[in-house]
Amino acid sequence: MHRLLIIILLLLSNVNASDQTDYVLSFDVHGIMEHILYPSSAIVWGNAGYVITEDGEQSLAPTTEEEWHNIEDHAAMIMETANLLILPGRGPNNEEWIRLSKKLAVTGELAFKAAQAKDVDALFDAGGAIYQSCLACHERYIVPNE
Amino acid sequence: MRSIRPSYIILSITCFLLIIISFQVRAHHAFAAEFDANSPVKLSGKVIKIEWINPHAWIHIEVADESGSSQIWMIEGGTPNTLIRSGINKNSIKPGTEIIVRGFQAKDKTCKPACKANGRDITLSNGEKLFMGSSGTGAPRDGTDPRELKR
Repeated sequence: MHRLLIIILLLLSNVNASDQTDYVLSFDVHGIMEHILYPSSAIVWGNAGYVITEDGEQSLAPTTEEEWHNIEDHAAMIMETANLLILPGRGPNNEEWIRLSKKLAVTGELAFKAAQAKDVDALFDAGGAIYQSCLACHERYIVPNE
Repeated sequence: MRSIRPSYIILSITCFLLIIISFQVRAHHAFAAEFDANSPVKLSGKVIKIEWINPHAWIHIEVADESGSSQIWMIEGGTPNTLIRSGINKNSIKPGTEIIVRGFQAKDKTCKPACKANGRDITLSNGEKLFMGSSGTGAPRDGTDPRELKR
């Protein structure tokens, strides 16, 4: 009976015994969002765009090598977060979950390449693509009233 | 054949529910997390600032009341690339011009440092009316979002 119960639980959680010993899952999906993905996305979003007033238009784009490099770092984190999301035991890991996670990696790469090229417009577009990637996943997996 | 003890069934159900809950991702920006679908607003005011940024553009307007004082409102719009598809770019809304915005006020109604609302549609100074909201965030299906028809 105990063996049957363990098998059922493992099937439900989509985790096998070797997965549990191979990885240290310090955060659940929510923790990944809160501590890694959202802060890194905020760096990409906050360093592209414009503030427009009657006095004129101010670009938010980086102006120094250090600022561009900071964006590269955070874009790289977005890219690799996709892998964190599909680690066994963390998310549902079905076909759709994996597809959406990979889409996130692609959009992160757009931001990374834009930062490497110091391309202000491409960085702004990449920020939009990252958000669309977030939204696509949230539309599928989000709790409606949160 | 041995029967399954009720405690095992309860344990299994509890574990299953915990697993499901762990899959659910809290949005940093679901409509219902920040805005009140029961507080529709219609605001008319002068544009003082536009933040053309991801993930949401923001339009700041100064709304005068009957007493002669004014209140700053921050209106959240869709992501810039969706606004562009709706016909709004960063130069469409000129600071200093009057606009009308319909939307829903934030749940936090303290209005400090500014009142906030989620914009649904905007009427520009030339009379043109455009959708300025976000699709897929859980905002009320009020007919303003052209994408709703296709969903």
